[in-house]
Amino acid sequence: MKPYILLIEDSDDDVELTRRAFSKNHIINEVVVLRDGAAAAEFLFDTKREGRGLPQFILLDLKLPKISGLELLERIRRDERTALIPTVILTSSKQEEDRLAGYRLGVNSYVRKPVDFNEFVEAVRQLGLYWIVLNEPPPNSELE
Amino acid sequence: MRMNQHVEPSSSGQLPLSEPAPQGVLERITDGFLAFDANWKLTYINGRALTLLDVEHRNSVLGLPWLEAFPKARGTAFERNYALAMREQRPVNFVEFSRTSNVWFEVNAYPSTDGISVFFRDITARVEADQALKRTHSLQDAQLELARMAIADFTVEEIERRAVGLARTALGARSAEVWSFDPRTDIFHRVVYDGLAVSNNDNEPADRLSFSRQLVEGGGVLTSDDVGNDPRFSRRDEFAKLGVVSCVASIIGSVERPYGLIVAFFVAKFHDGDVECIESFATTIAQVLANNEATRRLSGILESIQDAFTAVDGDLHVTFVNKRMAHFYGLQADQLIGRSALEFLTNPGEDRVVEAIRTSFRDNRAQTIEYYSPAFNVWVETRFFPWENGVAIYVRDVTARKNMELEIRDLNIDLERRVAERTRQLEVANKELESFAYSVSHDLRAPLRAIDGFSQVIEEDYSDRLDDSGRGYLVRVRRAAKRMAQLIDALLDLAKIARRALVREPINMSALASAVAAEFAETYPERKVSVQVEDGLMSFGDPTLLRTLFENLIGNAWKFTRRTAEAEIAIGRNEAGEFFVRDNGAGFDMAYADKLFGAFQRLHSDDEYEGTGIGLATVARVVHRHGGMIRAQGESNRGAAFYFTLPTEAQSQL
Repeated sequence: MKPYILLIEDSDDDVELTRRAFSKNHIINEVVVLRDGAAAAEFLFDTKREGRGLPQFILLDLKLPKISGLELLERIRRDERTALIPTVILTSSKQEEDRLAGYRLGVNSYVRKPVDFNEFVEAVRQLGLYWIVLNEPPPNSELE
Repeated sequence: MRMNQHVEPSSSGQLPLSEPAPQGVLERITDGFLAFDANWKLTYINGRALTLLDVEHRNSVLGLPWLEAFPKARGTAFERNYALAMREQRPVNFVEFSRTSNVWFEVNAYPSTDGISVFFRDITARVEADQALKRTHSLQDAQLELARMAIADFTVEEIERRAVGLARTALGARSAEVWSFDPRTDIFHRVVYDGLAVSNNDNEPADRLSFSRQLVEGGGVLTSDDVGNDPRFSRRDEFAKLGVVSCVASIIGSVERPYGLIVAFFVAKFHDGDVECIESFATTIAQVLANNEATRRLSGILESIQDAFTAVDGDLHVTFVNKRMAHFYGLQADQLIGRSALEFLTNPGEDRVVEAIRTSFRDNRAQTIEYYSPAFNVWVETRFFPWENGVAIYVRDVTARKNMELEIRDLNIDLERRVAERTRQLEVANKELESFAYSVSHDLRAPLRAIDGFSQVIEEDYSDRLDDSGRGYLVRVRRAAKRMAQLIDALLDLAKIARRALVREPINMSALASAVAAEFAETYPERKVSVQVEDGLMSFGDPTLLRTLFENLIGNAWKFTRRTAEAEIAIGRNEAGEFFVRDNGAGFDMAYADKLFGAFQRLHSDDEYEGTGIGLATVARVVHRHGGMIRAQGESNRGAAFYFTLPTEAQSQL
């Protein structure tokens, strides 16, 4: 199974900009996009993944329709199948409460989306470099 | 009086000797013996009779009509009783004082065949003992009577009048007087007298009333059995004229503190018991006066107190009420005294009073109750103090205080309700603000990112289809988006200060200001700014917010001294206790000073000095959240100074 990145993001604009940032950084891994928390939960836990395995890396927005990013994060960490997937919050919020809650729930990184696209590209570059290229994923056959 | 044993009369009433007894017998008996014939001539007189009647020679009286022999017997009981015995021919027995001999005789007169025979003996000692006993009893009765009057609450005037009356009747005084003493004027006033007035003057200065000084020197009692010749008296001749021979006087009260005096004058020598009796009268009167004084003082006190006061005995009978209490019941004090409290404690709520009186008396404990009396339309606080014979009750009208309490309670309830309401509203507002801030943070930034991002995409992917001005506009679009992002962040920071829970701890303001200034110096190494921070500035507040405050104030100073040749920033505290941050930069026109602290208010264009217009609003909010004040002082191109106060630790805890 091919490794892929799961992007959970409801904004079309942000999806498009994120994809562009990945491509500008030569990250060519497949990006699967889910537009709301409920769809993401179904995808991750109900195995409706159409033959896919679990993602190698999850980028999670916080403000999502139906099931919020933090709630989804909690379920990801609680479920032993998904508990170890590197998950990074990528959000507009710089609210302290959100950051604190994110780290409490075991997020691996918390990245604020800069307004400046160049900065955003740089942030995505560093994320991709670290979590996809440098980081050794946890030993989990499903991820391979 | 019993008959003489030696001369028992026979049943016929005749003397045993129908003839004059032989001389030998009559001379040997211890009684005096006289015999009269039918013409009242003295036919016999024995030797004992001669002695008793003080006759020197028997012959000088024998054969004379007896009233000629003893003229002082004329008109006395002797004459009347002998006549009775002669006329009715029966024995007569009597006791009479003989002016002839100045002794008391007991006499038995018997009819004889030719006249009457008389036996008599001197019983003066017995009569006097008898009289003394009677007198003693009557003096005791007099003292008791006066004492009873005192106990029975007769007025002092009544008791004094009775005392002089008793001095006359029981002691046999010629006159008796009571004088009262007025210590303020040093004058004795005659209050009452019975019998003859010894003095014509009713008001005598103490030093002129001859015996007043003597009374004091005599320790309160003065007696004289010869006032006419007593050198202690200045008016001896007046006493003599009135036939006064002796006197007994006693001070009423004590020598140190006399109420007055009582004096009795006698036409004979006073008797031993009289002194004691007059002293007793004086004591009784003094006690009544002392009691009156105490009562008056107590009443005065009880009338003067603001409380209504009443005292009841163990049976709930009223023993005292002051005017205020009587007024409560619309009665005079004397209409309440002696009545049972149960008679008038009948208004609603007063059953508690009755109960409290009973328990206070029974358990010997003080207590206080408070109740609303609909009868009087007042709130009363009633205090109960047990004492040996009953309960003292103080009643105070506390309506004003109670109304105030009720008002305060209502106000408090209302206040609590309003606080709860406000708190709820505030919580709602806070929630709204939170969700608003959250929305701003997320939702306003996301489109900006899209604007900036896609502008760049156009720039990168489609720049060959744009001319220079088109590319220039794209730069403006991106710059505007970034500017808006800055504004959003500044607004969020400002909101955060308002919502943040305030921490209060001692802050070293000097260290904090220096640290912030050092950061600016590091960030802008190209700038040369002289920063002076006064040492030892301490305050009490939230470290994070105060850092934000200095970041903004020092940041402003840093920014606005950019075009100043020798930039200076001073941080310190003035004499009024205000902290200040002062610079010699661009300054501002004081005409706009009131606009400085509003959000998004700017006095400079972006071209001159960039900024969001949030910094000073943030500073003001930090100061206000601490409960302090902030003001600004400035002049265009002459620099600006910001002064602020922070409450001390003690003030913060209020």
